[in-house]
Amino acid sequence: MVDYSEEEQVERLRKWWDENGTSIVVAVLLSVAALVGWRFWQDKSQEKTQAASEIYQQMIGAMEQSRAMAGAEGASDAVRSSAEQLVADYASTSYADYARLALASLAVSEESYADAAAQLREVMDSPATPAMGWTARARLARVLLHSGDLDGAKQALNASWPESWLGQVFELRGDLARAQGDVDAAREAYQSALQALETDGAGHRELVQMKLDDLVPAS
Amino acid sequence: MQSFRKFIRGPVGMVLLVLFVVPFIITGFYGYFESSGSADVVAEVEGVPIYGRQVNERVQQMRQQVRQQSPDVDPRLLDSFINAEMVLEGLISNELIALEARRADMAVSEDMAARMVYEVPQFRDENGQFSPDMFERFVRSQGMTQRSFISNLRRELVLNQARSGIQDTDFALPAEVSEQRRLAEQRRDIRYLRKSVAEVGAGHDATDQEISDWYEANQASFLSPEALRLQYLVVDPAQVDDSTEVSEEQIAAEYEVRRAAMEQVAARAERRNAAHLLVSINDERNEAQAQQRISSLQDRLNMGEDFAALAKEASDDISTAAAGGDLGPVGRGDLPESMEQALFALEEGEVSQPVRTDSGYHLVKLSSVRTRDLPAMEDSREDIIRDLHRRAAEMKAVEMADRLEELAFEHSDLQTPAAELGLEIQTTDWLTLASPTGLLAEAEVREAVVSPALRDQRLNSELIQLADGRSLVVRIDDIRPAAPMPIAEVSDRIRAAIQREKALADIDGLTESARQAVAEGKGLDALAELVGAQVVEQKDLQRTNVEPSAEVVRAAFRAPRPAQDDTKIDVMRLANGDLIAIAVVAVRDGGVELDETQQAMALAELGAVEGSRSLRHALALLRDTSSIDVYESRLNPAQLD
Repeated sequence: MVDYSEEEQVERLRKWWDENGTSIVVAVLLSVAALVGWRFWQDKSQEKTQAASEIYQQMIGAMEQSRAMAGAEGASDAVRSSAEQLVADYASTSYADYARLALASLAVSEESYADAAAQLREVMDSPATPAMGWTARARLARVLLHSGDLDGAKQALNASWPESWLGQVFELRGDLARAQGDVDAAREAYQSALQALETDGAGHRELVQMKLDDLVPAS
Repeated sequence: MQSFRKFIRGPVGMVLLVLFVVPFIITGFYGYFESSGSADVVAEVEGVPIYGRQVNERVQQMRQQVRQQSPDVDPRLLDSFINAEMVLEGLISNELIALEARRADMAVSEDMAARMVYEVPQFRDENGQFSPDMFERFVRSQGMTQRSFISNLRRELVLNQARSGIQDTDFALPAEVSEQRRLAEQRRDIRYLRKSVAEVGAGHDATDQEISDWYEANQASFLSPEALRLQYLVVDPAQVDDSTEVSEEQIAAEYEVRRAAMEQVAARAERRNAAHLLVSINDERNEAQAQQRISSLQDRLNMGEDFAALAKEASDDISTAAAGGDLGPVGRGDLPESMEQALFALEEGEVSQPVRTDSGYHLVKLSSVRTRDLPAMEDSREDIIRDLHRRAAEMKAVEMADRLEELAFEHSDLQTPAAELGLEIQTTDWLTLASPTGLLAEAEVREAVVSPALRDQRLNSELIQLADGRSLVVRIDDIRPAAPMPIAEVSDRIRAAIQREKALADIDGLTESARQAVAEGKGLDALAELVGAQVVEQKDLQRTNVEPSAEVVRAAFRAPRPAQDDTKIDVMRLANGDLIAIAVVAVRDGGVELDETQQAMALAELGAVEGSRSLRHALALLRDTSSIDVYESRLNPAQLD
């Protein structure tokens, strides 16, 4: 241990400050700014979520209403305006994704399949959750298949699907093959669909079975 | 916000009620906010526990609902249909949807939930004003407080947001509808023939020799099952003599106990009519300004101004200001903690010191305390006497059952126990374990009578307590062993079996030659001649038909479409052995033109089906990718009753 006089100590401190002072001040300022910014951003995004949540709640209310009274004009307009607001002003929230799904459904009901496909593609490309992504992808394939874009449908179906979608995907592949005139491939796909749907209690198996039976060869 | 309220006030308000109140009742959430021991955790979804109590309560609720809707339903069927496993599956699905909502950052604020409550038509009085009273009553009827109701509502709303976003945004495409209709509504014309086993069998006979040979060869299938005759002693609380004297002292003591209990309950459920005045802290007014303002208002009250008038003039709580700040009757748990403490410390007519909550500063006034009058001793006297009698009888029944257990163990038959207890020995008819009726219908009794102690040593059973409250001791009086039934009793059965066997052999042969004939290119009429049957034509067969038989219909729809001049003939056997030959003559695809409304309805219907399929897929994905632990062994069905 070396003993320093008081002046010497002050002198050493000053020197140290001259060397490191600026970087310390900058570091402190930066962290304060980061903390404030983060808090601010968090508050903002929470506020944003809350506001989006309210609009979304109106949207699903209007959907409910338009289902209860099929074809009620006002209700589907209300769905549309809420959904469009969510997509335009709250794109950073997951509510915008759900709004796009609703807009796609509206577009389908108006037979604007290109619009529907565009909305679904948006969700598929950057979904808030994996479940939404796969949901959008399956719907996209159906819309494209229906509107005759067979290549597009094939592309949409070409993915490593989670097991829970396999039954539907095989069925859609069968539909696609049939639309392309490939009866053998369609039969094979429907067979796979039946196997994948084994555990699926719902009536969809029956429909696939009917599609398969319809393609029984004559001899 | 104004437009939101207007919107919600419409017919949608009703829908909203259904939307959130119904799933509310469905979820069975009680466990969420009260801590339960971890031993009661029956499943965990990504670390979120589901409690056994939640499951059991939900099972009861669902059974109750079904019973209300269809009172005649067989309770055993109901119990097996609505069981703990199924309900747990549903609760796990809910938890998974909640997980999805969390991952998607969905949220419903307390404010939003509270505002929705304000708008529910069911909570409004005749003037269309929100009625705290009606809300309160509803909340109580659900066994909740307002605070827990709101937090549950928030959870349910978020769940519904996530569910609806997947399920209700699905659709059906016109091509999908028409394809489904084309196939499902398809009609087919068929021609078929049937050679039935019963008919062929009727043409055969069985000689006595054949019958007795069959009887010898199949002895084991003609045994009458072993039968038991049981003796038992039963203690039935309903039959026990309860004519014990009840003294005045006993009645008075019982009344005191009840009164104390009722007072305790009344204190806990006490309602206070309250009013409040709010000075909110907001963008225009900071903490210090609010504090100053509330003090000045307090001063005005102290100088004798009327609370209601002041609230009307100065309160920032718009929903109550007009009514002089009236909050209606308030119980514990309804108000923010600090307001509650202040309110329950007040005397009638008093106003509290300023109280701070999230919204700002309040002055709380206790207008009046609602007390309930407790019934006087004279009013409950009859009840008390009846209960005391019943309790005495129950005690006596328990004593008798204990004594019966001892005596039955000490003695090797029931004579002495019966004599000592003054009971009569009951004897059953001959009962079989194969088709148990009467006393053997009770599982505990069946278990007892197969034990060696009862069967071989003919000892008394242990005390058996039945679900209906009766206790009994049983012993086997006699066993009638399994014995061959005499041939005369079973000869009809044997004759039918022989006839059927012969008919099946005939039809096997006919099937063989029919198949050969088809291979040679013979038509259905030639086949009919060959097997000796009529060709039947059936036009417009639909998939849902069950005539001529579900099997035939299925075969008809699995057959290929008929090619020109060549109807393929299918020869098949039904499960009952009948021979069928079938040819599809014509196929007509389904799907007649629909008008606009019908088409819209068909689209909506299939869209809903697609929607639930979407949700099912999403749930399955969540299930496959989340950690879910189910502790099956803790799901104890015995707790359900």
